[in-house]
Amino acid sequence: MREPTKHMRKLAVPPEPVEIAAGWLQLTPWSGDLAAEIVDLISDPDFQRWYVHPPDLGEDAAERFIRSRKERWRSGDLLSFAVRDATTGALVGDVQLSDLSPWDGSAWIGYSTAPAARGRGVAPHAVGVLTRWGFQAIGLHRIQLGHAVENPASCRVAIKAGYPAEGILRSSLPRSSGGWWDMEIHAAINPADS
Amino acid sequence: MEEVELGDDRLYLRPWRLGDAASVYEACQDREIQRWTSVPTPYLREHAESYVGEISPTAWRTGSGAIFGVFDLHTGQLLAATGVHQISEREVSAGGRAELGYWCAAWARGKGVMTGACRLVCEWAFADPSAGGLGLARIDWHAEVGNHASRRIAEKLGFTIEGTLRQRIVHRDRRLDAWVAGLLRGELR
Repeated sequence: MREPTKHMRKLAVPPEPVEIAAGWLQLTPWSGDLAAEIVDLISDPDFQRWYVHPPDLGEDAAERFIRSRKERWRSGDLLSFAVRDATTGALVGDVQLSDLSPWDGSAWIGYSTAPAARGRGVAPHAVGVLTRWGFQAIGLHRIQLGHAVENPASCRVAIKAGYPAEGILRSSLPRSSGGWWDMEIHAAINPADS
Repeated sequence: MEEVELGDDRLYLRPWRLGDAASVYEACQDREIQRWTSVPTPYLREHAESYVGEISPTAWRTGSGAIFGVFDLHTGQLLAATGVHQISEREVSAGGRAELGYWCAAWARGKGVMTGACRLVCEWAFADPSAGGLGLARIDWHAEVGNHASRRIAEKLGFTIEGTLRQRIVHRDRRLDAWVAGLLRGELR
């Protein structure tokens, strides 16, 4: 049975959203200038299909999205970044860390790419950058991700970003439309801890 | 969450009470329990008191876990602990999930106690809320790689081993790989 242990790990989560330089990409906080692009991103059918809890659409969707990302960062519950083209500033996707556990230094990572930006390696690059940040800046030990087995594009991102597959957990990923997907789990381990 | 009791013709499962601390303390001195589970080491009287008096009642009250002491129906002797914790997604129409955990007192091993008690818990956890159950769709299990005794119980219950998660467990300051398994509604044996 699980009981409190002495392995609490101090996670260095910045109190406010931060920006991370990522070469040809830029991971930034969510801001009002992205409102129109946010609506496009989160209303994409793939986004709505694969996200476990897709954000609400409808009136003020972008404003509510930006506000909730900011609040959830402050509560330490979700570190969500806009992924932008570093040259044009255009929104090309999102990437986030969630469920950060000071108990065992683990977290989950998630990502999506805007339809117009697919096929350029956006998600593998963004995930790779955020993974290194999670290990080096935050002090995480193990970052894991799960995707529906019906979503091979997400699996390819995971492999390219350095997350080998570890197993398929049946009926483990809530579907936004109800029920469960079988979920393939992948993980990356902090090389500095080995 | 409302507390429940479970049982059959030889086992009696009920939420822990303060008076159980002494027997929990005694059971958890066992080397095998300390080797394979996350109970504190050394296991002190205060750990047992906190487990039966705070951790377990809090889990019931908040609905995050349903933790039972397993007793011999006829003698009242403590035999084991079992329960589901990290109960989540119960609001999902297709059913929620939780993780099964257990330990068996040294004096109760080899008699099918642990498998029998876990089966009662899983049956209840899968049962529809209209029938007093938790309405879960899936029960998770994980254990340190090499914990064959625990794995045998899981497999007897019908769990399918689904993978090995690298360095998933922190145990006594070491990071260890974990077997992970799942049991879906309808698979319980």
